[in-house]
Amino acid sequence: MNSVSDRKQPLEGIRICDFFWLIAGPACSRIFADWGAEVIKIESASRMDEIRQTGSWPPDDMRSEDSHNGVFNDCNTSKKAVQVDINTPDGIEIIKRLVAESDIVTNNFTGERMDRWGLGYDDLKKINPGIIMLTMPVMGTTGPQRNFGAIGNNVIALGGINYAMGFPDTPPTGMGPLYSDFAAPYFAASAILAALHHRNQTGEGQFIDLAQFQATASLLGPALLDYSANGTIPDRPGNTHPDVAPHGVYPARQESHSADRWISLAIETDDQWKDLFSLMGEPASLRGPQYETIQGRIRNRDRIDAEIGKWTSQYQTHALTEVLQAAGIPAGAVQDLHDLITTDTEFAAAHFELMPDRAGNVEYTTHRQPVRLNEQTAQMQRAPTFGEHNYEIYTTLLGYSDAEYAELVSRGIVR
Amino acid sequence: MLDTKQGPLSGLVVLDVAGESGLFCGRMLAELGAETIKVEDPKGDAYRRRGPWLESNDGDLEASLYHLHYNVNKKGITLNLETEEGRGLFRKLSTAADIIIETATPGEFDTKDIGYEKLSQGNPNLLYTTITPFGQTGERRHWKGNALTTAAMSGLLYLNGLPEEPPNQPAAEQSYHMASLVGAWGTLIALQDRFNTGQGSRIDVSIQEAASMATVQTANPNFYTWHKQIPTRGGMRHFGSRHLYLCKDHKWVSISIRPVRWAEFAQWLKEEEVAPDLTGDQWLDPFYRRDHQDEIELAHADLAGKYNRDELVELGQSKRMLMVPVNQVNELSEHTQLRERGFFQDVTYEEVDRVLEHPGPAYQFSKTMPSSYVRAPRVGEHNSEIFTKYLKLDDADLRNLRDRGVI
Repeated sequence: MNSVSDRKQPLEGIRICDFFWLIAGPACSRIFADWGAEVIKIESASRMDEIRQTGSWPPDDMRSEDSHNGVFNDCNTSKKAVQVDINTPDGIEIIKRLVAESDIVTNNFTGERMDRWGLGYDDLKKINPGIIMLTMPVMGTTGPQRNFGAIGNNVIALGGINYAMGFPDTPPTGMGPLYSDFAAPYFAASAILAALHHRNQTGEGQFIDLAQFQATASLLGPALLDYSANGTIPDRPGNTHPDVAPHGVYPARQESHSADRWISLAIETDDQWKDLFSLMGEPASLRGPQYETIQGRIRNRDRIDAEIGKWTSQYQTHALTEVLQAAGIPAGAVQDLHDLITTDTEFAAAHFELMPDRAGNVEYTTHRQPVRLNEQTAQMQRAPTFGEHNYEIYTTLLGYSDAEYAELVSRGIVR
Repeated sequence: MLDTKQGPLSGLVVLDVAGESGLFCGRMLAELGAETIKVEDPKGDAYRRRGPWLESNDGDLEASLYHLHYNVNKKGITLNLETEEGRGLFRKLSTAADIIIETATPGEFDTKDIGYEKLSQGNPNLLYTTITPFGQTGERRHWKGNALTTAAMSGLLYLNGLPEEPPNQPAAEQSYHMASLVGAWGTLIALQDRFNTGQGSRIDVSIQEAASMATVQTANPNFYTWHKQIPTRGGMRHFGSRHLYLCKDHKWVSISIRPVRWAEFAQWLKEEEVAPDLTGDQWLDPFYRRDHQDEIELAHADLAGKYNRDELVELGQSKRMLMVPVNQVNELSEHTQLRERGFFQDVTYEEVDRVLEHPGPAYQFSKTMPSSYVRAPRVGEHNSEIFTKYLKLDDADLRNLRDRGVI
């Protein structure tokens, strides 16, 4: 057994100069911060991260000026926040000092914004040859549509996910969540960490140009290859699976907190079908050889789904999930937020962490990082308030004296 | 390989023993340049029995587009892990590996004496990554789960679809994609830790937890803990699917008007004689707009109906309004931006005498990126290469193993 407790956080010693804002970017740099990197979030009075102002707010009577919303907290845990007015020569100089002390620079600006500030990769590598820079605009930094405007819900549409979701006779309903905002950052984190490995081996830094559009389109599974091979444009599948039946979402009994209750299940083998048939009390309507093979069940999908729905609607979703799982059938309650926090106590205990705000008035229920390294979760801190680490970063890392810092404040470079 | 540019992970060796839920993790590492070796049963793994199929070769283990997509750029060997001899070879091979990815039921590889405890004795540097429905610990670690049921348990499934329809599964097995992405960055964090400490790690991904990360905004837990709100599927009004409208040519457009552009947008609608008129002062108040979504949606729909989709997108973008097409696969395939950026990667398939296009990387690296894609392996294609290179077996050894069904 490796001894874990005396081990440092895995990314300790790595520093990120982080221009990410909104959701997709911060969800990437949060990974680094939670696992021990020093992530310095750059904002200014004229360019505050907009997500500070939109999200799930604490009730008014619990809220203080140091509170932020739950979504901001969940995208920015463990970071430090500093203010730099980058539209001034002093601001540019401050950023250059920071880049000289950093390993990684991140941003999700569209177009050539960093270059116009004189902070493009070619500029930064002169200051710090080993620097790894990642930029992740929707369209990437090259190509005819590099300045095309789009945000989260548009990216899901662009990338083909919207069109592939819904039922055959409904509009392309797509995802409820802003899915690409949470998937694209995971590509970005992987790319940066791969570049860090390369730098460890060679000393060489580099520039990474990630297009959120491409990240999203690469999540369509074999659909693009199928189009190339066969010209197929698939129908929207509803809740069906091409090779498995039954496979779907079925009604469950209403509960005190909600009437909108459902259970998902899939029958992947003939044995599982026999077990389900038995649990359902061997209904005469589903008896017969036409139901005993996958091909037969796929042909009779609609009839089977209707019968299963009549059966499941009599039961509470979690209780029925337990029964089906005990019989070895893949089933899962369609959990809502009430379930994740109160019913699924195992998930809640493993995955959510309570963090007080700066003033200690309110607790944020925060998603943990969804992975354990040697049984350990990441050690998280709450997200920083606006400018919380100004003094610390300016006077220690960047080497400004107290007098110089006071002057930067008086001239509005820091505020 | 003739590539002058090698991927940033070149030099690393990955043994990918994963099933469907972890295939994309190995695909990521292979695309980034790691030598990723798919280890599968001599009879071919289950993912080869999934469609769609290359032309009409249904059921051909080498023609599953599911396999060809998810295992592209990997090498492939066969090993019968049900035999002690096969397990012995796997243990030996693991001493040459940097990373192992597996998706078996927790405990199964330990029972076979090829789990982390055993393999890390022979290779303390090993990064051992598991991707399972509920993680390696807890009461439900043995529960069965697939893309549908893990999406359901994660809270992601409940949020999709129209209110009058059942909740709708994410397209293309997204809970597997989320878990594989977490597996990729989780493994690479452990790689950095190994660089610092010289020690390997065990990396444990729960698909349920990974998929739940996509709900951080739409169903932020604090909506419930502070306000007892339970976000549900909002159909076309929800974050991810809001403001999709049908254009004159029956194609769909996705529209997002940021608050800073509202006044300009309302003025443009007026010029287009769109109904209802949204230019009155009350419409400048975001709370008023929130409470009058119906009228706003009618105006959007009216605007969309006046134009063909691509005309509207071009016009909207010229006015700095966020308007984008709702693309289908054929439109993605022909998309100029994707083509210009080299997203599609050619792979030759001799058996049908065709070059097919694979969706490619999300990113470009300035210094390190493999320049071309390599076809997914045939069953046992690299047995000779890999067993010779890492285990120093010769042709006679391999023949012998093959005859006894070990490889």
